[in-house]
Amino acid sequence: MLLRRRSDSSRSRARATHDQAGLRFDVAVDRRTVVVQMVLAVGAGECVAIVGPSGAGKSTVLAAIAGLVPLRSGSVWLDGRFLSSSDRPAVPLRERRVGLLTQRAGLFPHLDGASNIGYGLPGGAAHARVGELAQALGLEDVLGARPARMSAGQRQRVGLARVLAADPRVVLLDEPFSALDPELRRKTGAWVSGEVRRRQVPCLLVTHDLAEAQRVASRVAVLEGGACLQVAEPEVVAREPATQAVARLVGYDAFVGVELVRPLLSASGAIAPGATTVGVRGDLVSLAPENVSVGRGSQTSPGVELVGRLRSMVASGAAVEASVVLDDGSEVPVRLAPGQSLPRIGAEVRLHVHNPACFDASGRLVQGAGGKPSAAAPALGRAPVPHGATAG
Amino acid sequence: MLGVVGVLGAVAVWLALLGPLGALFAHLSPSALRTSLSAPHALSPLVTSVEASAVALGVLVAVGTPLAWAMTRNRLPGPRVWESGMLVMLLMPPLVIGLLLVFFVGPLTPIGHGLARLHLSASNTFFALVVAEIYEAAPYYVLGAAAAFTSVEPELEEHAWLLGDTWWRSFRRVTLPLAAPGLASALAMAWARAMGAFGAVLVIAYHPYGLPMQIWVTLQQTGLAAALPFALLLLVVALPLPVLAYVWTARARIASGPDASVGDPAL
Repeated sequence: MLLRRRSDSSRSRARATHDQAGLRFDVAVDRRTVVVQMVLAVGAGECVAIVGPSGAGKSTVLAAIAGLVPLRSGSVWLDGRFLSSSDRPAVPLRERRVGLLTQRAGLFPHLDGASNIGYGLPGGAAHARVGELAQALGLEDVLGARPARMSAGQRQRVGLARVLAADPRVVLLDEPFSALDPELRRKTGAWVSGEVRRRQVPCLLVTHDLAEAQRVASRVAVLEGGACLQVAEPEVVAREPATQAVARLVGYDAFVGVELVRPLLSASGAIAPGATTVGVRGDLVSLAPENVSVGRGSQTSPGVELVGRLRSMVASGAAVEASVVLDDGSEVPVRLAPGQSLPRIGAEVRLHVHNPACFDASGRLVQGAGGKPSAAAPALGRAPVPHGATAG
Repeated sequence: MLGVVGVLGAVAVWLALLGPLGALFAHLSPSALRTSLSAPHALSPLVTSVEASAVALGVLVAVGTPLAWAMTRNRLPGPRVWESGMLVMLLMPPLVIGLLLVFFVGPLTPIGHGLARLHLSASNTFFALVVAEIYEAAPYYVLGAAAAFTSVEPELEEHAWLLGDTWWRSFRRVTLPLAAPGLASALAMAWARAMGAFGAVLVIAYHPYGLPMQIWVTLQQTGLAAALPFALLLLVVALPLPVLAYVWTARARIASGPDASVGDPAL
């Protein structure tokens, strides 16, 4: 009887863990004074970007998945295969098949580019594979050079090639494009997302650039102070940041108390009920046309009008970045389109904030940018951790 | 930068420190060299010293290298304790080491009894000479090797493991090549110490004579001048390895350039 039951449960556990491709983790890791916690499931061929300020714990999450730091609690599973947990011996690093590119790339200083890229390959297969990757990443010139002779951007790409050459089952990239120029950044990012799809492996990408996350990843996880604040598609995070903290991290420049502004009618009739603060993003703001009267009743476009004084203007490409100071001292950036007549510095200006994101007193989103009511504060996606994970 | 006085001062100190070496060549007559070294069995102390030192170094490399690696990778509980122990060994006067060895591995100790079963004795034997040299040279090798391993970023080893290397493979392909210059100087230092070991040797391994003991005995029996040729011999055998290691380390430093593993991410 006992035997029977045991074999049953082990079979069901096997089903629960082996059928699911991709990376699933639910980890808590001590990092100096904070505990970094994150739960996520990344599908095969999917790339999820982790964004957040420095010190948020982004790199720590990658290190935990790679097995470089001990888990305080939780577990990591890859393609239904157990990798590590806090209460069970972890799979040794060499058997994890985790590809990790750290911020510093960690190239072997005594080996040339080709030997670095081919490090994880058995001798025979190395040569052709290294050539392929070098060509794809534009590294033909540094194959014979040691890392000391490479530029920072070349080192990053050699590191990337080394990770992918070893045919990992999951790809973890920590700011992999930080030293690349914008064009190479775009190209390399596109190449990475293509490789991830083609190889059908899960990928986690740490970045602090939301635009880059949007280009490469299909979902964004926002991390701050060790806590994961939101996981959603990049567009959703930009439009409907779950909290004011997330909004600040994804490009909202200013937060203005609603009592200081004169709300205009929004598409749905009014500012979302309960909103006390609106988040303002430079690209959602424009100078109000002179002929629009301030206050309720203007039907030109749903949004909020703000009154302030123009503090500064700086050319930014063809446009002009202006900064407007409101009555309460908060500063709102405005992008003035080319050809628009420019006000004088110090002049009073009226700003129109199109469909701003609105937050309640506790900082939670009540209405997304674009006037979409929030779907009752997006839940932090809890990854389905397989049965055996906590049972041990 | 220092000014003339500074440079002259440095030269004076340097000359004063190396002066004895000059005195060796000033007082060594070719005829004395010929007579001393052509005597029957004159070179056997040299052979004894080289053999004993080679064995001692072999043992040190085998047990000291893993210890040094573990010490620098936080693999051991109480990391400070290990380093302190090596420092204590380093600071112990060799003569004291010899005395304590008598009470630790001498024929009348439990370890001595165990050795006797293996037909070994740590008293006035080649084996005793090796033991004494190991104890005198060990801290130099272990601390030197630890410094060499510290210079290899643990992150690089982790990368090698993540790329599929076993510990041994990563050690061979990454750790060892990067630590090699440092390990070579540790080895060279230990070699010079082992070759010149005298204090501990005097107590537990008076026989068979190694070179330092030969110098001492000659000095006692024949006089200063007769001991000089053996001193030269000792220098010639003990020094080349350290000098080579130094040259190699310097060249490796130039070749690898500035810290190559680190690409400052442009943040």
